[in-house]
Amino acid sequence: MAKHFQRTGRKLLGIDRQGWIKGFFGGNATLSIIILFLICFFLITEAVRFFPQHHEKLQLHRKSGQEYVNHIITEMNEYSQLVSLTNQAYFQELNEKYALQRGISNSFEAFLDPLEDDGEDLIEALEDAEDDPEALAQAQADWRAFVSGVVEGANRADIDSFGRLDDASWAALKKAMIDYDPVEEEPPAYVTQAQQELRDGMARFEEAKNEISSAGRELKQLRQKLVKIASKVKDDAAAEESAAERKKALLAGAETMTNEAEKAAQIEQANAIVIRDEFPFAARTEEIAASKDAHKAAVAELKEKLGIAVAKLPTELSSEEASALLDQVRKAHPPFVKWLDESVAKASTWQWDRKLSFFGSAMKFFFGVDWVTNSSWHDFYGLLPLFIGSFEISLIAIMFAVPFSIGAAIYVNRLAGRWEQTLIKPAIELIQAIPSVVLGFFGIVVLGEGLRDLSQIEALSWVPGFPMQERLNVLNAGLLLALMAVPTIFTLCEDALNNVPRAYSEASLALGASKLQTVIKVIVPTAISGILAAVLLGFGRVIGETMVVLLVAGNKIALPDWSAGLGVITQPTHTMTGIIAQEMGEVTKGTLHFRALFLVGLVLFTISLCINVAAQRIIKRLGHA
Amino acid sequence: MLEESKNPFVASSNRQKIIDRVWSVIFAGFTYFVLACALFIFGKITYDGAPVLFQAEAPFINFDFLFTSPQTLVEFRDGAGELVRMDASDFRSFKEENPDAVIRDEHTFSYSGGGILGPLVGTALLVIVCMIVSLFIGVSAAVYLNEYAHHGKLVGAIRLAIMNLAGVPSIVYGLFGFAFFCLAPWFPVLTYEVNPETSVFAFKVPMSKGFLSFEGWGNSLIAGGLTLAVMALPVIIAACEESLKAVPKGFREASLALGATKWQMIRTAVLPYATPGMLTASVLGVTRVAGETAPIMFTAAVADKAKLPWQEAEGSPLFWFSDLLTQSVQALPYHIYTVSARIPDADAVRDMRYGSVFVFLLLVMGFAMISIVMRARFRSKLKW
Amino acid sequence: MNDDSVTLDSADAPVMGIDETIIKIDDLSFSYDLGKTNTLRNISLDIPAGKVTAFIGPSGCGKSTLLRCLNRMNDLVDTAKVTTGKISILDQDINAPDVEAIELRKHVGMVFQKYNPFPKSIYENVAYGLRVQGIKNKGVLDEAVEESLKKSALWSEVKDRLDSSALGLSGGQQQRLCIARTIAVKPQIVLMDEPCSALDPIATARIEELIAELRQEFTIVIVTHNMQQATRVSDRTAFFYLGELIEYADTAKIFGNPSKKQTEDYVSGRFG
Repeated sequence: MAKHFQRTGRKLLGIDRQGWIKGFFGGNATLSIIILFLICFFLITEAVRFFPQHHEKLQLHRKSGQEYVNHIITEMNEYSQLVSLTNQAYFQELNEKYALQRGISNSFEAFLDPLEDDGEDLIEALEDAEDDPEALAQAQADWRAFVSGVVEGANRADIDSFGRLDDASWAALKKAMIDYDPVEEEPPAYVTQAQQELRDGMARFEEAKNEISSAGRELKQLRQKLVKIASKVKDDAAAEESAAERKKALLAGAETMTNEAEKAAQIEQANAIVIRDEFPFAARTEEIAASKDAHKAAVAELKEKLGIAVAKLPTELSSEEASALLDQVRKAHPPFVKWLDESVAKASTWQWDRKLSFFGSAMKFFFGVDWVTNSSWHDFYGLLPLFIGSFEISLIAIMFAVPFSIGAAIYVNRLAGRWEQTLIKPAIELIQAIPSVVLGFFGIVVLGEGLRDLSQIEALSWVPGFPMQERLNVLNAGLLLALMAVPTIFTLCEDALNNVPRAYSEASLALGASKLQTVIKVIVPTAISGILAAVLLGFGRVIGETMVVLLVAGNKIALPDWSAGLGVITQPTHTMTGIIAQEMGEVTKGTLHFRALFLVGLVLFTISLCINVAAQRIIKRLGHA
Repeated sequence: MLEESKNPFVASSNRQKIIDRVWSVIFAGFTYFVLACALFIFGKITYDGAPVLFQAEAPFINFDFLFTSPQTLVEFRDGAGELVRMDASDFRSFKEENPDAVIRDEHTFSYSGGGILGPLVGTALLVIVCMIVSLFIGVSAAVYLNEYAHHGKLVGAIRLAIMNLAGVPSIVYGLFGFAFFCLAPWFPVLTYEVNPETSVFAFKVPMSKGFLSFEGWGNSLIAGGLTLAVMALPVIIAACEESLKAVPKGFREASLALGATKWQMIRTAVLPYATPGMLTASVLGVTRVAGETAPIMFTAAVADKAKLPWQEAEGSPLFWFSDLLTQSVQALPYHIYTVSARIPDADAVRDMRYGSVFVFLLLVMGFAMISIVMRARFRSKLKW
Repeated sequence: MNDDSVTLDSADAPVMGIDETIIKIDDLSFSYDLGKTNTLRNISLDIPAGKVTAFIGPSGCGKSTLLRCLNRMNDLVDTAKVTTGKISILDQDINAPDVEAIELRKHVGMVFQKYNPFPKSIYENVAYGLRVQGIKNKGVLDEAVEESLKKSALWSEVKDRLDSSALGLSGGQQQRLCIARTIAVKPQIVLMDEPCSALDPIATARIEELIAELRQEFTIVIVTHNMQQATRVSDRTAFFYLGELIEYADTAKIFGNPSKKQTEDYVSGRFG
């Protein structure tokens, strides 16, 4: 009887047709798990191999003495920042206080070009006529006529290209040009006088400036010497590491050769490669180790000379910017000196054979502050500046996006009229479709300029970071990403608000609450888990965004300069996503750099997974409170 | 007192009413500010970009811009001091024709001359590959999840995976695509010349001069298209599921009650009604993905390519097709990235920048808008 | 009203003596679709103060709609419209332009069919209506919460866990909490829209007891389709059918000796 209701049809491998169809669909669905797994697999396999390779690199860094020399390099870098600040202040002051004198001097030099080029024959005539008074007079007259012709015909904007001269001094300079003696190349008195004034006025400042620049001479020489040694040790050690392999390759190559002479030569070449059990680091780095005292002395000298020179810096300047710069120098000086001592102390602990822990080298990646690649000295892979850059930008984006998207969600969901709802929702969805590269382009050509102009308005100078130095910076990128985050947060928030049961709002309204009171006191608190999750997911979207930050963040790999306080938001930075996009195209598979980028990718992937999981947790836990 | 007792329901204070109004206005202000920002971006790019694409005289559209590929732009001053700009190819023939012409202050700008045919074609090909693959997998997955799956561990895991895939940053997809499709050697290509460096295994294809070589796809159309497809998958599955859910249960029950098998039921009572919705919603997902640059940066895109992909591919049909799929392509978003970030800013590159951005924005927003409108129409129709 | 010193007695509203008409419905027609079809047609009805009035009738007869007109909850529907007639409460036309729906709802409270406490603590639920009126004084709130909970016979059950979530209470308790929440704002009229339909018989009995208590202080209008309930709790009963008021009289008369045939058929269970 029951036979009537049995399935019929052929079976394949014990599975009937319906089973196969189901399996087909199920297989496609399972692909999503497989893809997630593959993404994990590929990121992890490349990324974990970074650590041993990086560890070895760092070990070589230590053994070759580069680690020690690096301290000196950093000291020099810090010191040259002081020098550069002083120089900036110097030229600022020069340009402001002695603008006229500089203008005269520069304009005079600008005049020389046409005079010497086009008046070559006349100058020769002058030189030839030196002994002949009559000819000399003639030549001088010709010269004068020529000079006045050139001077009168000159375009003022070309000569005085910075517009430093006023009308009177322009006229005076033109007149003075007649007195220029092209044979002796003696500038006219008007010009020499201006140059003298300038020199006298700036003498004290110049002296201090030069002293600051020369204070680090010893250290600089030491650096040059040690860099050379350490580089050589590193290269040799690296070469020796591969010696065995090269030898094998040469011998193998020789086997296949038919020409006996060539074969013999190659075998000889191979045998010339000495394979030592261990590279003699101790002997090779002896000189570096012996330089510790010289280093101390050089630093001591630097400190002493710098102290004297900084004290000599003028305090009364006519340029406000210059005095601000010098204040910066004076302020930075004591901590710099203190830091120098620490640095020397740290450096003196260096020993080529001190053990480097694996954990320590891994931490050098996560907490390293430098990311320097393709350098002939040493490549640094420090995630911290990139991580902070990504984080800074995302935080700003979220700060701007959250009020706007939640406000808009409340408005559209509870307050807006029906036609507004039907129009605004798709419009915001359209914003989501704006390609990120277009937003980045907009950031470069429009927002960057706009923000900079805005930041130069006097009335806005209280805003942290205004006026901004760079067009492409954290704030610019953050604002654009805020626009990208709005649709995500808005849509999810709106869903969350929509899911609040109607009974709640009815009950509230029936108790005499207004629409707004109902929203604030009942609906938002009820939907809060959804709103929180929306914000989190918005953050996830923003931190993973690539093109906008690559184009707009400024791509400067450095820790934020916290001395600017909140002003860090107008500094340029670099990001985790940006670095991958920028460098991935140019690395070779399997190199340390390649794996470092995959490791950065793995960090990003982990962050986004965590955010996703957290968002789902929040919805689950708070959703049924 | 009397006045009061007459109407007890007048608001005793206007304060709450005013607060309500003020906040309403603030929230509305937030909403419209966001829309205004988007509109401004749109307007600014249209204002500067439209003149590149459109022109005053017939045929009103600058077809040169759409139908030539990018090339180097040369800028110089002629004898009269006039500033002249021309494409590098024109410049060469100009110099041949006028050997005596005065050329001063010569500057060249890469990728800033010509038009955007190559990038347009490349993006179109990428989208086609992406669409075919992601729709096929996406629709099947959605059918499984919505029609077959019961609440089990596997389904839970699938849903969790989809949800997490949706949050993965685009650049990570790029890394994955690069490692999986481009570098790993398990994908075979048909080629006449085996690449000895990357090929791990190759054998001669019978009855042809070529080889089947397992050497990875390299930077190629297929690698980029598949990377985009993987990225589009979560969006498309969600979109398809929505359309499937909109088909009323009654259709399915009626079909089954008439003796249909599960597959017959899906084929006759579910898919016909869900297909239009699935397609339009998927277009939106694909559009969003097509606008991405990061996933194709190192899987498919190149800045410079002399010919169109199908002109460069060669060989007998099968080999030609394999060659076509493994060509690297230019792509519009990547082209925009190149001209706006990798070459120095100058007046000469302005047209190319704004022109390509405008065309790209127009295409993406156009498709997005069409699919949003269509989706809205299907949604309202779907109230059976 | 934002002043904490405000007394909670609705002193600003006129005091009504028992049997005086508090709600006067005059020739009311109402539509949910901007007047195309009328859900309620030409209803005239006077509801006395201090009594319990029951609206009965088969499903879809418009009794709930009429109830929602009384505190203008229908405003929430964009296309809802009073087509003719007017409703006066305390001698004031409630659809007059100068009437504030929010203010009206403070005087005319409502208890819903499905109990709907907010996902907040018990205390906050009851205090909610006062808080939205701007009362922040903890003492005033405490007192009002206690009083309302006592009046709604819930105090002894919840006094030790005022801070726990209201959603942890049983269904009947939740509904009594909603009643407490409603009377905390001291309305003069309490509308009840089938308050027991989601409850079991025991919980229903407790709510009915509560209604009997509350009638001493509030005018109550209750919609029910349980006729026994109407006889048990109400003083006057109005019978609606297809959007029209068929008969309105003392409860005893409606159930004992109705004057219309339709009413008799309905109360004797012949349809509905």
